[in-house]
Amino acid sequence: MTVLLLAAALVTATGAVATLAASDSRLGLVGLTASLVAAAFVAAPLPDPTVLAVRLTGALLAVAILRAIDGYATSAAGPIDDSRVARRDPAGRLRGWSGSADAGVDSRRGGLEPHLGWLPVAAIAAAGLAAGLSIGARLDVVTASSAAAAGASGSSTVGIGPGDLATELGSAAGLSIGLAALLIAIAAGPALVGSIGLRRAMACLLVVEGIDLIRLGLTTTATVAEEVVAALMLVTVAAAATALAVRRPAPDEADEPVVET
Amino acid sequence: MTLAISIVVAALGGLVALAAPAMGPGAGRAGRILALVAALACAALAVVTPVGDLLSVGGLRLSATPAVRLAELGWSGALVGLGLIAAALRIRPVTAPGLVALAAGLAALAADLPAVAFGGLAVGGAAAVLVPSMPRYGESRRRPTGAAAPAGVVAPATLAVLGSGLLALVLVAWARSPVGAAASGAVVAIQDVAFQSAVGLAVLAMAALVAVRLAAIPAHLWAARLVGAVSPIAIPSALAWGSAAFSIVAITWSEATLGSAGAAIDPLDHWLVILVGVGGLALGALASILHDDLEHVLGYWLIGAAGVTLLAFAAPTAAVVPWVADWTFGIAAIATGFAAWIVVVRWSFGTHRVGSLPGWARRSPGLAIGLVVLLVGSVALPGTSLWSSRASIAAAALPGAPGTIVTAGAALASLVVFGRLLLVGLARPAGDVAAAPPERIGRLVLAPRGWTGGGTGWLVRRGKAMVVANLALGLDLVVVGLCVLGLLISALGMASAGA
Repeated sequence: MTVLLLAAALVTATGAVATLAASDSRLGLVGLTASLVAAAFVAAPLPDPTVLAVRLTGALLAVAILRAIDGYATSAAGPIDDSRVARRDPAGRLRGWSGSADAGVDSRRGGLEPHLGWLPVAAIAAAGLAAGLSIGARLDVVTASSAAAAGASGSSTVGIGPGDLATELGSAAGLSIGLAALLIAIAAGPALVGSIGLRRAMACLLVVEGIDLIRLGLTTTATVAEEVVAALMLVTVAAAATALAVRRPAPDEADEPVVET
Repeated sequence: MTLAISIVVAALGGLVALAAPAMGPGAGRAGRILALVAALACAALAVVTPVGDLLSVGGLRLSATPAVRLAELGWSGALVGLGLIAAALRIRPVTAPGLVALAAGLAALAADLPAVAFGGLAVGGAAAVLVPSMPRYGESRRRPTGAAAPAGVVAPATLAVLGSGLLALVLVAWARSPVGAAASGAVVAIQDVAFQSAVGLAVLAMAALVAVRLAAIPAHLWAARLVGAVSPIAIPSALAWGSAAFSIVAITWSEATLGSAGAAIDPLDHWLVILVGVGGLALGALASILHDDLEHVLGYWLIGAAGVTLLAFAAPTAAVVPWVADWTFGIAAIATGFAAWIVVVRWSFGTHRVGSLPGWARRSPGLAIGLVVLLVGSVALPGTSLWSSRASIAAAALPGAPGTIVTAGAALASLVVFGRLLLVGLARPAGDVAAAPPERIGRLVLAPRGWTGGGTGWLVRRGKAMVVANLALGLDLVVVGLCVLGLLISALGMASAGA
């Protein structure tokens, strides 16, 4: 495990937690940027400059697109649910991203708008990381030496010995899978439920990044074409989330379609 | 090289057309024209693309197989026809997002890397679903496009399309890993029981993703709501063509995964897939027969057809792959003609309810011809590509009498769906149909009303007046043209693309 690998993993994890735990959308966007950029460096050895450039471009472009949601929310004309900063009621309690009248209740959806705070999100992240590292350690993709040893002995099992544990956990592949589990653990819920807005969009991006880390952890190498497609997926998810978040609801968004005659 | 040119033309044409409205008041119209021209160019390039055309770029190999040529021919032809209808009726255009989806679909079908294929299909599918649903898309002073689809409808649809592609990437990554099925010198012994189970589960998971993407029952809600919220001309690109490409890539991957692992599908998985496939076919057909609004008739007909596609995953062998290609592209081509027919019926008679359309065929013989062509194409005569592929897929999953029953049932379902519409059309015209103005019914008008000759430029004025007066006839001709294209693709399949 190199210092760069460890630093990249740390920044990825911290950034992801900050994305969803922060009550300020600006901090959330900074956290998302840090997480996506650092995830590009979770590899040993470092990928080609071309591959790195593609990953970074996709990450930065996706965040730049999401800025449109943040900008829209701060404009006077934006009828968007998510407030730029989570509001507090007169008693000082957090209202969450929806900023609706009742504490933590999303009046439009009739359900709770989740806003867990730093400690719960960090705890979920830690649990996800532990689960991911455990799964990664049990998979013989993590180190070539383990794979070669299993092949030489004709073993059909995918276990590892205790002495290899530190090596297995600290490898790029193991860290990728661990970080992927962390990202999906904290982001899957906000990505699937809640009103369509900046927070849900950022959660979707974290899920996409998590899936990409699984891909890299399992395959360890990827072609430029695959990296381009992965970056395109990130940008597409960001664009889709932005398009859905900033759309003005039609005055008669009813069940019956309009007959275009 | 020709294939690469097609992909670039489609992608650039679509993206420029999408960005054009932001460039100025007149740029939107120029963008729509550019999109039509790009679609025409793709159709022309499809004719001249040689089978086996190969290109290598960035570790990726693109080869023009018969399936690629068939997709290019049919899909670009569909975009041209639907684009002309949208232009004539001044409704929300779908050519630009369709071109983006076409470029992604062609690249996916031609690519030798499944990860690139699934990722591209997810991106293209999202464009086809999301863009036509956006408020003010395609809107101009002379083109009020009406209310957009609700976010609660569009978001699940986008999630289904993107999510199925994303999760497919995980399966592909597993297969390529040292513990996966496709890696050479796999660490785990192939005979390992757990490994065999893992391979079977991976194929089952891929079948589940196909079910989501194709909106097969029970994962059909997103599509059922989408068809009621968007214009019918957006449905082919969103639900039919992109889904066809996805299912072909998925079945190819499944067959390769099982083959490289030396594994076979588990009997439990086999029967589970059959249950979902046959159940989806039956329930989709039933819903299509019972629904009153035309968009849902089309949507559920597609959902029922997805059940047949799913049966291919019960026995994913190398022989099944071309059958799936013929079946899915044939269905997509028929669906395109049907979507065009629905739009013109809505415009002509001012309604989209089957119960409000008695006598439509008597008033509009052109549309009647179109529906008859669709009926013949969808039921399919023995010996045609659609019939053979449907029968072969069913026989591979359910050998013997059960497969024959499924084949006959699928054909009968299409007969009832389209036959019901035809029977309603042969009744005495009443209500909205009887009250439809003559200028909205397809008849040849040689002497336009209110036109006066003489003066400078009378020929141009005469031409314009003729076009306006015969708009309904022109629309009928485009609809019949799309229906005939659907019939040809369903009848000939990949043979029409030089297979």
